[in-house]
Amino acid sequence: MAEPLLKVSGLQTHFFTEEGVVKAVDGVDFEVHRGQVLGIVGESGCGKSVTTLSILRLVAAPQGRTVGGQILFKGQDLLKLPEAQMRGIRGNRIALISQDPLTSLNPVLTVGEQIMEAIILHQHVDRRTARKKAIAALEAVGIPSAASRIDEYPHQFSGGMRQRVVIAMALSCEPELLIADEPTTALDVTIQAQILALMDDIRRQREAAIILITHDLGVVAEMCDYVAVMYAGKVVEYSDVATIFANPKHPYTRGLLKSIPQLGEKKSRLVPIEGQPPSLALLPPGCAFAPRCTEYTRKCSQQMPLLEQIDTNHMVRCWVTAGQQDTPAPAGATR
Amino acid sequence: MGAYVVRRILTSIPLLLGVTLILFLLMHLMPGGPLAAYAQNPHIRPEDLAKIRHIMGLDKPLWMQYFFWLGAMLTGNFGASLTSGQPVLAMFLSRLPNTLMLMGASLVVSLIIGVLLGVASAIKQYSAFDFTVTTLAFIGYSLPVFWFGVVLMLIFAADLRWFPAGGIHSIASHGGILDLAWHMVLPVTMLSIVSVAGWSRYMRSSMLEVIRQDYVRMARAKGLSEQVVIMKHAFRNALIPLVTLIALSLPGLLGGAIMTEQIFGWPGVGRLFFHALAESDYPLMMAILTISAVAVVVSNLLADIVYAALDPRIRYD
Amino acid sequence: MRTATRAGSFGLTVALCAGLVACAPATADRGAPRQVIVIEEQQEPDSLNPIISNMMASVDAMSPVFSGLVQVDNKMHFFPDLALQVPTLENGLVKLEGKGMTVTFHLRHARWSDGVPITSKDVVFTWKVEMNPTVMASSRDGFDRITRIDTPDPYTAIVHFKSIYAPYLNLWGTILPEHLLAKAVAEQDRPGDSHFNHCKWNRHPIGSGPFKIKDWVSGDHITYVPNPYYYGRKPKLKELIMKFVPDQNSAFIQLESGDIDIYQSAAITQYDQLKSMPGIRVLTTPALEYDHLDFNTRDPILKDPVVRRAMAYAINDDKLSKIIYKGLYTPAYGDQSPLNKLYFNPAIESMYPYDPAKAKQILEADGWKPGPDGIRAKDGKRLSFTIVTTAGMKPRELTERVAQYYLRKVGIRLNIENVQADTLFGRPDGLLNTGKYQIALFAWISSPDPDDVFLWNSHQFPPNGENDTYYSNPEVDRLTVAGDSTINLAKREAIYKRIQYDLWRDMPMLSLLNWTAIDAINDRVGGFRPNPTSAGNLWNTQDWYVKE
Ligand SMILES: Nc1ncnc2c1ncn2[C@@H]1O[C@H](COP(=O)(O)OP(=O)(O)O)[C@@H](O)[C@H]1O
Ligand SMILES: [Mg+2]
Repeated sequence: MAEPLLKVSGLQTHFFTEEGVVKAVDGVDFEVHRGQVLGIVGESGCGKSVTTLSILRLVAAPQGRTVGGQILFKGQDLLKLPEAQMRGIRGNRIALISQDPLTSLNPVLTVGEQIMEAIILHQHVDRRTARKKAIAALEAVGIPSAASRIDEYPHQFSGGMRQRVVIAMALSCEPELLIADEPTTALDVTIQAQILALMDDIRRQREAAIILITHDLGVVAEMCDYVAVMYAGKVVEYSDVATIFANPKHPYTRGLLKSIPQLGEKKSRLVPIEGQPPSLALLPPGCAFAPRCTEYTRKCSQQMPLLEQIDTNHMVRCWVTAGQQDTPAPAGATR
Repeated sequence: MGAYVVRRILTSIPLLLGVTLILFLLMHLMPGGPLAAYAQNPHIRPEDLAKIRHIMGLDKPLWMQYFFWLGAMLTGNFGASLTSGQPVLAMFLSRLPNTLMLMGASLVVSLIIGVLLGVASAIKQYSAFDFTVTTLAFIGYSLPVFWFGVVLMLIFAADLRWFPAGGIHSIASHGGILDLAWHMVLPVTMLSIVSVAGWSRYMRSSMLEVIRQDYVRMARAKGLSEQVVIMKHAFRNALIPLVTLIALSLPGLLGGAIMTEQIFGWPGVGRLFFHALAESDYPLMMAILTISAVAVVVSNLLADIVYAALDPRIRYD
Repeated sequence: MRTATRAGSFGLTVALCAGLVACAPATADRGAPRQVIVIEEQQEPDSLNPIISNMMASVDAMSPVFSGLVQVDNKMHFFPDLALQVPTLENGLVKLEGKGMTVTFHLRHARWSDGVPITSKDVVFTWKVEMNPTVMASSRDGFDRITRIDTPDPYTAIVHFKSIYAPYLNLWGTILPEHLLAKAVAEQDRPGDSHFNHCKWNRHPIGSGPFKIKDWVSGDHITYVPNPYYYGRKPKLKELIMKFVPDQNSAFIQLESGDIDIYQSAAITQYDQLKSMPGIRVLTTPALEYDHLDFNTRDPILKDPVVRRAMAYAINDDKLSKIIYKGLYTPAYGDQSPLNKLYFNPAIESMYPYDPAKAKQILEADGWKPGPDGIRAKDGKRLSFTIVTTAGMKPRELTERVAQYYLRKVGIRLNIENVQADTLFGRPDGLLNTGKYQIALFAWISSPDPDDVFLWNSHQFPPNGENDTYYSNPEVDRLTVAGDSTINLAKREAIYKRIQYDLWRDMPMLSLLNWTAIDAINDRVGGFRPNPTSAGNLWNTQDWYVKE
């Protein structure tokens, strides 16, 4: 395969708080290729958003710091880039669509202004041109009478329309990588589908890569090419989407999948697995999932397993299932 | 918008009436009543007092007096001072420009400094700078204003001789603007120190609140420089809640600052009010209180209108 | 304190101000002596109408502008002003006529500051204004005893009193210009309320004193310039400025920096610093005011004179003065000021030396025995009293504490319960006027011409009069009336000395300390002579000058 657009390895982002060090991201590895969608799933609080912010280097200083790992964007380590150059990448080559359309637009600026400022900044054009481009971007995401609505304020748009504005904003500079952090969580079902369809179009038309963070395994099945499953700041399983659904290895992933009643049913949110996810400030030694694991062994609570390659494009972080795989079956036998 | 303003004004009327009623009753409940200024003077005989009472209509039933008083005030007739015999409105107006100047300057100065400090310490949260500003703000807040005024005077007027120890103009130079500004420095500093502390605290927390918002992160994610993020995206939003506070401090522009005016011999409304209190000059006191009450209500209204202008989310319904 | 804090910690202010300092106008140049004197006044006058205002600040501000028929100097002697002589029995200008008397004033040929001559008509006018019921006069005392004033010619005024009135000279401190005010007096702003009470003249009066008002900047200062029509020697000053400085620290600094030349009634706490200030002279002047304790003699316990006398023995006035007033205030005896050489009775000075043993002894002899807590009691009644004064007045509150300390030593308890001035002095329902107090601490000012009826005659209990101790002594009743109806100085002297003795023996009121005024002046000021009487310190501004 060609060089990935983005390759994250060993990423560690910690928060140094008064209560202690919160290891929000503590070992995240994945790749994203052009024209592909990577899904990141995992329970709330497992570090998905912090991962995306780490990629953009927007983790709130001074408590939050990325303390380890590499983020190679087209072969260049973003973590080593001077801030000025990083600003040239943000919004321009990597764009963010954040979680909540209600709060991610500035209430006191018109939507046009918010789109145009990025265009002016990155494409070095005058306001007239920027305005035209902004209208085009709004039209592209399906906002009717964009030319007049461009001067309206965010509160004058509905939730779905606002998310379209956010997407238009993210797309305005034609980024190579789009990071969408739960882009549809706050929207109702019909609008969700429209937004997802819109994103799918974008991927196909523009050859953009997308990192899609979601709770929704149905969305994953429909949209993604690869999936990274996160638990307590770590990627515990990484694979192409078919393998994840057909042959999940990590007990946590299995738990997640078991909670989908029927394949193909759209409303299949992650149903919580029994027990609570651990506090990221007080992680026990060993596997963080061990206390909730149905296949727990002594070793699990003693040492943290590594993310091991068990197949092409399939990696798992688990003593039990990775080990099982090792001995009886020959490599590649699962497929 | 017009209808909104009219409705707000109409709803303020009962409020104002309530305030005037309370003020009126207060005046009558004070020891000595409205004629305390005369009652303390041993040379005024009871029969004279009775005469004055009659002249001023104080022998009428209380409710009637209230309506007379209210009616007179509505026509701008606040009566004559018991101590000077002058129309109290004229006395008030003669002091008003001085107080507006002093309080206005201090509001502007303290706002600018306070807001800048607040923003700076919010974006450098937990830095040495933030810590210093926070500490100074707490000191400024808890400084006894009176003591601070005297210390200012001792250092800058007595020791260093940089500024005059009081008054509004040098006797020698008549009315120069520089001379005025020179006289304003110490009282404005004294007034500003506490409000700078207040504004900076308020601005800091408002700014911190805003900086955490998604749209600020989104602004950063667009690649905007830190300066643009702070000034264009965060600052304006952080200012919105401040507007209410600013508007609420506007009545102070009229009322003046008793202590500062007293210490620095500033001929403002605050000192006039103090004089009215000390001499039990009730018409004067009532005029100042009533005008202040109206100013409070008007400022509230103003706050809402400006707030609406700043925040497009507010609608008038 | 003054040198402890330096600019460093106020860096912000310094930075802000630096620009302004650079362009600050030069402070009044002190090169050649300009004939300008700036006098501080703590309060701003409310009105410059002598009939209406009785504030001390107003008296000060009016002094340079007005002249009267006769005035009081700083030694409490009357001297002629617009009159050519001070009328007395001896020079024949005062005549007794039956029960009444006449006083004749011969006027000099003087003019108002607008050039119009002053005549006896103005004297009549002044009296009529005082008595006009629509005028809010601050006092009509004395004027109400005048039946008529004859004006046989423009420069003679013969005043007829219906009864003997000893303080007849006190009434003529200011004369009003009829030609300027007649209209205002006649008009009424509303029924019963003369326009005179509100007219513009009250802020810019035309008088006949050495100065006239050039400018009154509200809240800041009044500028006076010489009155070209003044009858006497032209003042040496080109300008006299009265600057209102409400804060005493500010006044102190302004004196030091030369912004003011005269700082009146400085705070006791500033005395030592003022003394050590170079180029400044500190004048201490005995004043007519005195602090005293009023005893309510209707109180079931305080009606016993022995108890009251015991308190006189028990309190150490000298110590009180040292503790609170740096020893500047002097012990007071009786109700006349020692400054009043004619009337003060020195015989009473030795009656109550500080002697706690004696206090205990007379209480013991009177049957007051110490209880278990040391407080004396008799028949179940305890020597425990409530003392009241104006709340917030520091020196008086301290005085209460000191008194509390001394009385406790002889077995008397004082409980302090202070109130607002209105509550204490208000009429008709203040504590003093309703007799709802036991011991009250406040000050009186003694007048150069005593008139004791109001205070000590038993027909003058509140609310009619001011005998708020409810003191009742037939002899004093008789003497006060007798004193009021003679102007024979020898007789009056004997009467008032006797009253003083009686009062001090019966002790309805314990005088504590005579006040002392502290005035600090720049050495360049000449001619300033503090006047302890109600004439005030600006009584002789025509003599003020700046030293060469
Ligand atoms: N600013 C912060 N300070 C401290 N802890 C934080 C901060 N931001 C996130 N975290 C912690 O990091 C963990 C991961 O958060 P996040 O990435 O937002 O989770 P999610 O997977 O739901 O997006 C959470 O447990 C949260 O408590
Ligand atoms: Mg999240």
